[in-house]
Amino acid sequence: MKQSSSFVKRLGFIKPCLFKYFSTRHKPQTLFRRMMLCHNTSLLENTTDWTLPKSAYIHIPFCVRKCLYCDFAVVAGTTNLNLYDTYIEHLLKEIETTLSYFKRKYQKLPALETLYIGGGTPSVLSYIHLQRIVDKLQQYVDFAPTSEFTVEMDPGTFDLSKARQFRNLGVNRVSIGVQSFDDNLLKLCGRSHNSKQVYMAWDILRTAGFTNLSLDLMSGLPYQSEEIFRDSIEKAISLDPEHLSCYDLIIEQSTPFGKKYQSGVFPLPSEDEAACMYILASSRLREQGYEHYEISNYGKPAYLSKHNQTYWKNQSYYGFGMSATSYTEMKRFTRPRKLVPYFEWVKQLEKRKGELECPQESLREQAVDTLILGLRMKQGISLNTFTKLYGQSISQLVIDASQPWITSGHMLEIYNRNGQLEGLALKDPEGFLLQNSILISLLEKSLWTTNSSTYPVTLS
Amino acid sequence: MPGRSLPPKLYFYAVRNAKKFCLKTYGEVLKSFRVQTNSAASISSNSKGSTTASSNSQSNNELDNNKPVDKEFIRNFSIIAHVDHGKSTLADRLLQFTGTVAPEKFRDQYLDNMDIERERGITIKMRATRLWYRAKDGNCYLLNLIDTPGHVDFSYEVSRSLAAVEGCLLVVDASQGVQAQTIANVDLALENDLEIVPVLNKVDLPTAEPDRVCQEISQVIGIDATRAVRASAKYGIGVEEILEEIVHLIPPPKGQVEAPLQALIFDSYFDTYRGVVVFIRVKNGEIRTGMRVKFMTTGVEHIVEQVGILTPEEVVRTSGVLSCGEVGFIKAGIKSLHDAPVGDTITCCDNPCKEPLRGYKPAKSMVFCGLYPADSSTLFENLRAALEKLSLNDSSISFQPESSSVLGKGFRVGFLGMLHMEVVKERLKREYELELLTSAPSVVYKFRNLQGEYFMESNPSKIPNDARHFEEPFVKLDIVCPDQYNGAILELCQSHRGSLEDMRYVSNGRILFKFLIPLAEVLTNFYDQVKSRTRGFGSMDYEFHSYRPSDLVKLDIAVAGDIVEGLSCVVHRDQAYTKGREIIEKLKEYIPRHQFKVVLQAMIGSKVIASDYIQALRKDVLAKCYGGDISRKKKLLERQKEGKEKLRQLGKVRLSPEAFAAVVAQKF
Repeated sequence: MKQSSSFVKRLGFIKPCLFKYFSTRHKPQTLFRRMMLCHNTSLLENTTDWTLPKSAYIHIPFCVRKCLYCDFAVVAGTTNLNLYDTYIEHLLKEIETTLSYFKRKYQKLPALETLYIGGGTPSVLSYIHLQRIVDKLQQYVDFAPTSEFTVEMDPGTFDLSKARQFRNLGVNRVSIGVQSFDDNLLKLCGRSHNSKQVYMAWDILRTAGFTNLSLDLMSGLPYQSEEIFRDSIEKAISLDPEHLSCYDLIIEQSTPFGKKYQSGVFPLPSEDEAACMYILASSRLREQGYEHYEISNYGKPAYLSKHNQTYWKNQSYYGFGMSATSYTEMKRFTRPRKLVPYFEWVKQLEKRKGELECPQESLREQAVDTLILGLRMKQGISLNTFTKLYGQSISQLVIDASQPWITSGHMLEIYNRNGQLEGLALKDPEGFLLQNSILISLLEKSLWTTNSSTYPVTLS
Repeated sequence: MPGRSLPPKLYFYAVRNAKKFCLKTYGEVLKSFRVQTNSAASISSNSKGSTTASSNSQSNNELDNNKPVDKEFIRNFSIIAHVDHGKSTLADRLLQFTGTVAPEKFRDQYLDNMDIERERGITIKMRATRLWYRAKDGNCYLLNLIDTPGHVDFSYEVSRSLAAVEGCLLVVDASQGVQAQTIANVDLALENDLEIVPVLNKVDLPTAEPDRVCQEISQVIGIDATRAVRASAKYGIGVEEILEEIVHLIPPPKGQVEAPLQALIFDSYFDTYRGVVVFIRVKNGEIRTGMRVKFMTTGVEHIVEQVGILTPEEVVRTSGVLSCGEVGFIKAGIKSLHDAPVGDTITCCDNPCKEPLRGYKPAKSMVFCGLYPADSSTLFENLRAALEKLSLNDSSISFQPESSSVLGKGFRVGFLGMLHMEVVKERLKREYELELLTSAPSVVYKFRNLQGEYFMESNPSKIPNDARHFEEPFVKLDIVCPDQYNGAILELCQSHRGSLEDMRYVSNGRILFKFLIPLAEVLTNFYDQVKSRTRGFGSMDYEFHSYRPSDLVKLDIAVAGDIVEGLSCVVHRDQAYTKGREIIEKLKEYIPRHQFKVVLQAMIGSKVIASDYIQALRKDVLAKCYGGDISRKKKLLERQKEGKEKLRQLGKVRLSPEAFAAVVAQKF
């Protein structure tokens, strides 16, 4: 740990959250790389708990109705409680199988620092369902004292008693899907609630004692003008949430919106209008004291989403439930997106005693992921870590490739106190808005070489 | 055993003919034929076929493809007509009527064997074949037919075939009447002193007006059309009369067998296995295998290895003689088409003739455009090989390598006209599987630089900025259309800088216009415009006239501050603004947004005459990316990258190949 503390000193000026990132992150990865190099799987057994997930995502696919823009794996409109029960049974089975597999393999599992129950609309579940999930998890892993336990809740799907029950189960953060404060737009998007229900839901949650609430908004909706969006932002601010997510609508071909609208063409806002909305949100929310810590996420300084940062820092996490993705033991695995295949899959998993049949990500893929995900964050990627994990040459290629973007004002170089180049990040909002173009040009010149089978890193 | 080497096909034709003349049943003839061949293989089977056939004939040369025919019984002719007046269909009927092609082998447009020809229903290459016809006077005549293309672009092929014959069938559509190309083709025929046999085709159509058309022919062309055969090639009406007319009106070939050899090369092609095959018309003397011959313009000497005739398949003549008046082919171990240029005269080395025959002007490329491989410059060599091969069989293509900053390495290729260009592109695509990008077609401009030196250049990007005193090629344009459209036609030509030279009635209600118009104006969709403005009734034909001074300027297009060579063009000063606007609008439509604002400018010299801009890219980001989305996001980025790899560079900007083709290559 000596090394990492000197590391921390050098990074003095970077946000505290980075400390954790470095101290917990680089070492296991280096070890892991060594492991992969010598192809000695026995080493894997002896590794410390650092590579093991400290976050878990659980997917609840049920919704009152499916929004017209949504392409998530969702079972909408069912009130059949038997189906809920069946799903929960399988979910619990999956948790049990997976965690007992890990427990067998690693003896002690680290405590969960974040738990996120998303969907779908998890708030359609009764607290009993939720309790069974929490209990099942606690059979195998502890919850860290400062753990972040988030549940997504939609207005109109819960009352005060349910909110209190959830809170009593340990839920300490709620993400509430508002999307807009304009009733016409809510209707147009096929949302199951109106703006009045948003306020009611908000009051319920506050009354129930939640002190960490996140609110989702959307921009770029059909017929949404900058005025309507500004109004939603202002109304959101007036509720004083601790955290805000502001998503620009992505039109997916498989959705009703995808069939009806074409990106950038009326009634959808043009590219310029959508960009204006993004800039509006960024400037207005930062002005209000929120930190724009990821492309679409804003939070008050102490309330950045710990769980989501696990993703962007490319750390491992458990994933349970239909369509959920997990990233454990360097295996990225997505579960079936339909109920019955998922049930089948859980049965298979049981037979295999919890081991996933999925290839490990190569070092190259990990590097690509780290770059893609890391540059979503305001703090960007740390070149030190990047160099340690993936090699000096790749790191240098990325730095070189980013030069034109730095000149054009889309990227920032982060220096430490000694004037050494320490990190790369996208500039808010210019760089954030062009993330795809920037990533492609960086990857093209570094990790995406013409011969994809070789990894151009000199491993020493 | 000379007879044995004849292909079985030939026996077959002989049998078909035999059937026609002797009215024996097919089976009987075949039977007797087989018996004879089997019993006496040493005797020429072919002559047996003919003895069977000509039991009641007085002529002895009939059907014997192997022997030279007395030139009194030879008629060489070709068919000329406006596009779609039924040339190839008439040729089909002649083939069928004379039994040249077996019914089961027959297909429509028999002589057109290129895929493109059959698909589009046009003739591109001329084709020669011989027909045996027993005339009503009891004699058997050998008719050599050379089918010609009708489209204006290929009038060069027409002029070549006309030099090899003594007469021609002038086919005129009985409902459409005399059209622009009818006139042009008749002019060609008259230049060659040919006997013209008028034929009114499509008399079966309800709209046919043979009397009016007869009058038109007499009036416009000045030949007596009262005797014109009224035929319908489609239904085979009047085919025999046509054949009779050919026999009686077209004179037999003139030359003398005793004279020194003089043979005109009217076509040639390159065969990978056999070398150059030369199609000739023997004007004087005779050509034999083993003879040492000289190509008079090139001076190359070769020994004749094979002579043969066209039926229309090439059939080697075992007798080894091609005599005065005949049409056939020779093979003489020639390696390159340049050694035996079309239009050259072949003579015998031992007894050479004094003067070469009057050849014809080599084909001159009128339209030029850049052809570039679409995918990458690695295909450049493939393109070169393809062009070389193609030019072996189509001597009217000229090409030279060219490189463009925009399109990479490619060739500047010269064509006879727009249809020719399209056909060549199509053939390159189909036969050589090359995907091509084309720069806008242009003509050859003449200009002077500041020092007063004259230059000729077809590539606008190579024309220097100090070029002045531009001259451009003008063509004589003939348009024939019903008189109610004369306003539309006059307006069209005026807006294309044409000047009216002459205008007269060809018949009641139909007008012939003669314009002088810059070739460049006729290149783009002019023909379509003529067609649409006359509701399909108008026809046009053009011919190079002369170079004339024009107030032309070089229009440059700058994208993001850089002049893009491939987009430069030469336009008339009055049209510069419109043209510049047009190109800029197009660019604006196709160039995607970039990270910077893209300024588009149209300039003459350094003066900007039109400009516009493309807003910078504002948003290219995936709003949501959580646990499950990373693989999707990676895929999305990879797709985006793949798309990007296909993009082509246009100065500082990049755009998709489709957009690129749309912007750089003009539609025509």
